[in-house]
Amino acid sequence: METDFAVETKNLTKVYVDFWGRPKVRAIDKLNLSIRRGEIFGLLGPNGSGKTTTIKLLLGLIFPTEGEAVVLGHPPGDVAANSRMGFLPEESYLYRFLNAEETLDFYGQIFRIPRRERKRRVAELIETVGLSFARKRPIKEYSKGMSRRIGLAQALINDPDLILLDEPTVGLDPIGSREMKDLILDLKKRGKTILLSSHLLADVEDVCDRIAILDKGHLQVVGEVSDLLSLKDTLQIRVRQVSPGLRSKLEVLLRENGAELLSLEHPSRTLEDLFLRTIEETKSEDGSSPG
Amino acid sequence: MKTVAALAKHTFKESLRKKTPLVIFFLALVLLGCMQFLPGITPDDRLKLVQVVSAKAATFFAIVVAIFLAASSIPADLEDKTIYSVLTKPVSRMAYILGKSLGLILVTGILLLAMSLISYGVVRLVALQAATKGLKEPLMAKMPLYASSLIHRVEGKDASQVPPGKMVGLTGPKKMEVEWQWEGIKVSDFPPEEITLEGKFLVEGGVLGGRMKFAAINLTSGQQEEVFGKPRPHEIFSISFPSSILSSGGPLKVIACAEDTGIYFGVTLRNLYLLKKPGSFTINFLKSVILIFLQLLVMVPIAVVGSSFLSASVSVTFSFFLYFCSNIVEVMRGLAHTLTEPSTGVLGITTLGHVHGPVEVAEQTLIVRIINTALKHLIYGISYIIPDFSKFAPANFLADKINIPWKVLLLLLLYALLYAASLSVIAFLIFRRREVGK
Repeated sequence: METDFAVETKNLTKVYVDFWGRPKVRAIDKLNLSIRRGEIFGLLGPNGSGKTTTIKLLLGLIFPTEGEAVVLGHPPGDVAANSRMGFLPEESYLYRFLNAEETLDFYGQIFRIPRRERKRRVAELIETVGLSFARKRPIKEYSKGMSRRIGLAQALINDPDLILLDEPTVGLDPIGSREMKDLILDLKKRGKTILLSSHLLADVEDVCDRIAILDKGHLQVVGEVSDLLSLKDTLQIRVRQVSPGLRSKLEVLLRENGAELLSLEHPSRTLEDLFLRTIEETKSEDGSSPG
Repeated sequence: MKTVAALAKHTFKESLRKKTPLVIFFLALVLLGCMQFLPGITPDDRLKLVQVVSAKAATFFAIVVAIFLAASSIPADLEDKTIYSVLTKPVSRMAYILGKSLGLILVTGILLLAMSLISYGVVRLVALQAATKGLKEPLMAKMPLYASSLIHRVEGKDASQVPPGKMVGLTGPKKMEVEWQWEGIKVSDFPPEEITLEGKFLVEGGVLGGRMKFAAINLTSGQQEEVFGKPRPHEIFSISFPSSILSSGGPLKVIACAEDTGIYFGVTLRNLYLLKKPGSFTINFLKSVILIFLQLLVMVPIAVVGSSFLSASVSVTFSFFLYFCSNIVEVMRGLAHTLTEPSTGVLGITTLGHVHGPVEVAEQTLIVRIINTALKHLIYGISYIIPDFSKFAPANFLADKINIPWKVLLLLLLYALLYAASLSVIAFLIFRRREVGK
């Protein structure tokens, strides 16, 4: 049965056991998550908090000790669910002896995409992830960033409805990272549901609609990013063309009315902004594009 | 099914890029050695040698490649985690197992085909050399016609029917006789000049063998012919009759008795046969390649089962051990048999259940008896579970130039398919609950 949720888990628990079956690590403990269709959901947490375990459980690569999960209305690992899903693993584990085109063609075959359609989509995806210059090179020669890109391309080969991205921006430079985030937002615009895990908080903040924070297998916080981050008792005013006189008048006005002034200063832009703008400027100067 | 095909194709490609086809050169080297060296042997023996060695070497290389590739297939995918990107696609675990197995069977099959082509060329070449040295009909496939019944008689009476597979003994002079009977003979199947009978008896009591008298009787025309033959240990002997002995299709009876004292001949229903017109060597060679391929058909899934729950190195070892056992199934049963009767055969020589020579009766403690019984059942059990590859070995057929019957081939094909299918199901059942990532 199709519900409003792309992913639902009930008391999902995973205990890793040793060779003799003795419990070793409780990686996920009674996790209850509901991911709505069409949203970007971020799974946050420090290393070892159970993000990747959760994703592997949703993919049916490993099996829960207790509880259950439903993915696109099917149990995890079900062929019907998998045919509408895309997955980018933490590292792109692809066949090293294939080149980019062969890789995507192979996965396309698995999805039984007809030859002509496959060819078109492979070319299009290579273009989208910016690997046109290396499409005939074997993957073993790829840099980390390039592997990430081809990994993303293989996750999108079937035009999936639900995309699971495990640490999507790891190993990417700020430009690649920005492109990845733009792509994720673009996918959302096309109605896709995206679950991404990350420990890079800025990335999550930029793209996610809702987030969950995991720690040692426990769900600590879940909610809308804007709700969670907005400081309800604080007001920020951003204005241009303020003369020094107006500035001191403002300060006086606020104090007289009993407001506590926390700061009144020039906002700084983020380092990411500065970096991207700098690279953008040099690019337009020499007119060439870096690989 | 398309998914399985895609996976199989991929596995095939992967193996090729691992440069496995290079083993073909080893075969070429071995064959070159057989052709060029050993100058002392006769052309006939060289031909035999080349055929046996090429069949065995091709089998060996194909099996080694099959075991190494198949036994490490799943562990390798787990190790470099490429399995993540496959199993998260609409690929059932059964499709994954089947894709791997089929791809590897295809790779090793093509490898075998390439090696066989080389072998075929070399055999043809050696046969050509042998023909110039005067060897007649160096390459052919003899078509045996086996008797439909065998009767054993002692002192002219006490006739008893000998069931297939059972061996009866003959000692001289003329105390016992055996009688083979052929029915349903099609005269046109036989050469017009002469009718030849061939056989390989168990001969004990003298390395030079002993004389036997063979009397052939056509039961319709009443024509009777007598010849003498001299079977030697481990050698094929032949006797001939004028072709009129088969007139109007028989039935034909051949009565044999031993002439000399002190020589023991062991005969069975199938170890004396009529020779029809010979068949094509090429077709027989092709059949021998199919037999080897059937071994791959069984061996690849065995190694895949191993790789579904063991590490690469353990599953390679496990597969080689099983392959070794599968080649000595008869020896294993013989061993288990001596364990069933622990008081006999300790010092004597056991041949087909008969004990010759001194016998030591040893008292056994209860513990030893329990261990022996447990071992016996274990070895018997294993010998019936594992495939019997001696049945799939074409080398003896080729060396003796004997046709491999289509019926045998078909039965073995069915057996191999059934075996491979059951193994794939077992591999799936193990792999279904396997966690593929920590």
